[in-house]
Amino acid sequence: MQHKMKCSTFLRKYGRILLGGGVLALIILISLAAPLITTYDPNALNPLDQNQFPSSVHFMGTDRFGRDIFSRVLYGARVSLLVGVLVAVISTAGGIVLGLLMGYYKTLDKIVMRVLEGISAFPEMLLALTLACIFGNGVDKVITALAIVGTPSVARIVRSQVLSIKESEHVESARAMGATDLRIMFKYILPLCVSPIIIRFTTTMASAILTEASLSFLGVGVDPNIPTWGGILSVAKDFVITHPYMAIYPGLAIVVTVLSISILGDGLRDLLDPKMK
Amino acid sequence: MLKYTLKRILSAIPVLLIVVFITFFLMRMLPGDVAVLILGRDAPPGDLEILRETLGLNEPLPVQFVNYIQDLLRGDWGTSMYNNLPVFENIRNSLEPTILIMILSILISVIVGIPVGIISAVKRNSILDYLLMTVSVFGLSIPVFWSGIMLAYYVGTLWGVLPNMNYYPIAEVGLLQSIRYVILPSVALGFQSVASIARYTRSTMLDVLGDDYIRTARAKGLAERVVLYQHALKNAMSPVITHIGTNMASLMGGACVIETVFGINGMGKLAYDSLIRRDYTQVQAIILVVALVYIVINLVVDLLYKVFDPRVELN
Repeated sequence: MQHKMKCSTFLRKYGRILLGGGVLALIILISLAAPLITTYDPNALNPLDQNQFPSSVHFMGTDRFGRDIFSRVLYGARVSLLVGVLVAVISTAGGIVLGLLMGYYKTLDKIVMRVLEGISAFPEMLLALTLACIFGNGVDKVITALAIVGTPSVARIVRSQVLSIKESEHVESARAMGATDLRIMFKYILPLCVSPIIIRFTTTMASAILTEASLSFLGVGVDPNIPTWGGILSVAKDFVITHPYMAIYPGLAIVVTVLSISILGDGLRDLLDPKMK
Repeated sequence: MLKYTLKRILSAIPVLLIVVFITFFLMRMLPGDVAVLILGRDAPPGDLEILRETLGLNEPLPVQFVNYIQDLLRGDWGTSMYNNLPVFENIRNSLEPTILIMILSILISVIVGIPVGIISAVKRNSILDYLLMTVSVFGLSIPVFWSGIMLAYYVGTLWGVLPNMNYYPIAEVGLLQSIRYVILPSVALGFQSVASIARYTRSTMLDVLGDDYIRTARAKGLAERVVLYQHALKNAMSPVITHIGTNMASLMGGACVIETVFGINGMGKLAYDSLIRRDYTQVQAIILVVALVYIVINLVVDLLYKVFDPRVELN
């Protein structure tokens, strides 16, 4: 009986982290092992095999160019995950630096805050679209564009944390001991902001994957020759009525990936932020 | 109250200026020559030069920017570089479907999201709560364009219940018919906000339910129904309403995508098309309009607070 109780508390506490993290790990593994799972080259054009319905030969069918959709979906995972992780890392790093500086220096805060207010009046999607058009097609360019879009919200979160932590006694005493501003920011303030930053990390990653898919779908994201989930869907959208399978699988791949990241994020939030329970 | 309103309006000016500034320079950073895009690659260089001159593209950037601001202040938002119509007219022509989609998707997300959030908070940690919250994470994980495609295929094409493409204005087919055309895109767009509103309502409701006055209300023997819906809900709603207000910008962004999927000539599609066509003036005008609407809505929301809850301090 006691053992059972422990088990259910354990699941309640870590269940979502295990579920979300497990599925995400599986997706990462599959994307890395793509060449072992499928024998088809995701870019091999095969005019004889155009628009084939799913079968034992082509697990998810083929697209209008005869490319195997299953292997395109597998390889597409690489781009999505790469974009998601790198955008989250860059915008988190940028947001931390910007947020720390804003929270710490009042004059800078006043100026930057106005700019951030201006940016928040922009629809995020429209800003991402514009930046993607400026930088052009390419994985690295989409990552740059999305990292710029993602940074302000991380900065805001860090800033509001810094503002409340700055006045606490341990910061006061550090200052009295003669610690430099830089040392106070990184050694005494930043460690206390870690939980909201981790939670935000998963949200940024999820929305980066979704936005990249939208951009590639609209044709302004990653180079159309590189298999991406958004790109597969953009080819598929003209065939939906006759060949719906083309659109179903890549879409499901996006949903499952983003869902696992969101569930992981929810689990982390419950664990790290006792207020939210 | 009046003083506060004036102060807010004044503080919106620098924000708007920043929006104008950022958009102006972002547009100028776009690769591609507008003149070539308008006249085509084979146009004689002389014509291209004349066009550049008339569009004012040969002036140095700071001069162009000052001219643009002066024109804006005079109420002249410019003409579209694509079809030579005043940008405002293009916006007006595309406004109707977008407004309908926005209203409908906000309605859908509020009607579904708020009750779901309340139920989840009241039955917190029950199986129902877990179920509802899981479904709402699901909503946050679906790309708008994909749910649009799927809805268009299943509901529109396969079942044939609703139109899966296009839009016809109210003046031509009447309000009810026009609404039928925007139902599917609105559902696709609204589904995302349902999820975020439900989760937001749940967490503010939980916050409020932990407050002292709720304990007092229960202690004096009020029915649970009264405690929940008259005492708690009222106070939990204000942050939710702010959330809906700030959500407007992301809905507008979603409109770009969903209108393109459904081939609806609304403001979102106009923004996307103009961006692809490098129609600077048009994109600038759209972003400015969206920012203005965003600022006004958020001001109105803040003022409504004060009206509903006199304790709120405005400053």
